[in-house]
Amino acid sequence: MIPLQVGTGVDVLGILTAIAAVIVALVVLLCLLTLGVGLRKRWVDRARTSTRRSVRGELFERRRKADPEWGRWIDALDDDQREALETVIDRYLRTVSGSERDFYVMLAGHLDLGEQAAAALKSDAVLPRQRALARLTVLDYEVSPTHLLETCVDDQRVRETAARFLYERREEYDRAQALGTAFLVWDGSEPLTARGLQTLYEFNDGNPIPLLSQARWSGTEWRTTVLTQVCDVLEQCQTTARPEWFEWLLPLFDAEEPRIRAAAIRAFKQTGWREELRADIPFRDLVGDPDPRVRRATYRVLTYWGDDRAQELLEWAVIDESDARAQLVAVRGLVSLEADPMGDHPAWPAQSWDWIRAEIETTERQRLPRQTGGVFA
Amino acid sequence: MAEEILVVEDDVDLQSLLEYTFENEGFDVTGYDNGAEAWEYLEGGGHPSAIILDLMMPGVDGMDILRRYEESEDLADIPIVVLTAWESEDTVEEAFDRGADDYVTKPFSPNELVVRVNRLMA
Repeated sequence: MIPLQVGTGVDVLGILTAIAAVIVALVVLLCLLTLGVGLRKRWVDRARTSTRRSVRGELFERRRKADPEWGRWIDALDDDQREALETVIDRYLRTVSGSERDFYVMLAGHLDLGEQAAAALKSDAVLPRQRALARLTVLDYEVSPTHLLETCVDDQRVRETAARFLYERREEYDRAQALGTAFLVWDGSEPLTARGLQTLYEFNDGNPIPLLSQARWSGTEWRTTVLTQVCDVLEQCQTTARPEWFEWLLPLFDAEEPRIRAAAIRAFKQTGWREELRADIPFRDLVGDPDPRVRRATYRVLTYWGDDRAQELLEWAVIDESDARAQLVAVRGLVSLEADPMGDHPAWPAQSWDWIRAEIETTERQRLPRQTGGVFA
Repeated sequence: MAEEILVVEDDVDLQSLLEYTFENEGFDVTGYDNGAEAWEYLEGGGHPSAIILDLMMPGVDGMDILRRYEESEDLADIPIVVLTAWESEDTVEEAFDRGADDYVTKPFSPNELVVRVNRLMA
């Protein structure tokens, strides 16, 4: 049992009571503070909504007039009204097109939104620069590539936004594809976000020469993640580029890291079937690779090509494959290629074959009612 | 008497723009920023000449309205143009199956929307 009064004269009960009182006071203070902040935020939101409503109303009222005097009206707006008008214009620039959009670009000109955004690119912070680039994109405001290179290269997030700016405005910039690709990959030290990957793909689909060119010169210095991301993009890009553009990928098959070897074969998906390249791809090594990830990637690529030679490799792989998941990938490939089962072979994975066939048939059955409008349609 | 257009769009900025656009073309515009009120209006006897319907709305969304519209014989003659934020094949297909007559993907041209509505009402 704890003594309430110790010999030294210290009142323990008093101390505990004081501590409890302080805690209660702090909790009450915190509650009041939260309530106060919440109420203030609500008041600010209401005021903002009300200002926005009135500015929007005034905007359409003026549009009905023969001489709306946009310049005079905008000059007379206070800071809150101006901010509200900027928000409304931003909204419309993103949702409308055609002559209506041209009208809001004109109005943005009265507010100097383009000049402000171009100036904001000089900020050190990331978010203001990303916002500025987004606004410059919707405003069709001209920004020189030099200005982008001076202001947008120090951070991967800003580089990706600058690349998106160039992609959206690619008709207006001569070297948008090359510069945008350079912004995205840069020195290969920072992995790309999903948004950056999408932009990289969109820039290079159909003609990945800028990406291949950059990879050929500096791909070996890139971080593994960036290298595999670039391979993933190349996997999806349609191309008619000459085979020599892909030769830099071949040494990657000797890389120590399995994920690089797997990425390298994936990167050949759209092009590797061409005889000039196919002869250089070490398929025997790939299907015998110690890492199942590499073998799985190879089976998928072979399935995609689907010709006789690819099918033959898959058939041998199915029999020799020791990893159950990789074997399933190879089996799925063969079933989708409508290959004949080698049932008489002692190592033939009959169960996997039946499983995949049943799976594909079920998927087909599930798809059928949707395509035909349903059994009872 | 001017023809009436019902605009159902939860984005009040866009709703205002559509109201302005159609009023400017001589229509009477009734606007709602949610599907529940819009449906109440239709159930209560509202019979506009055309409906502009945003598909993505909180609560009762455009597709819910189309589902109810599909079951209502009184409203079958009203042409509906749906506004979609993205061109998803499935969504557009479903909207047409449920009675939508046309669709417009954002960003869109308000003037083109007026032309489409006029064509449907002709």
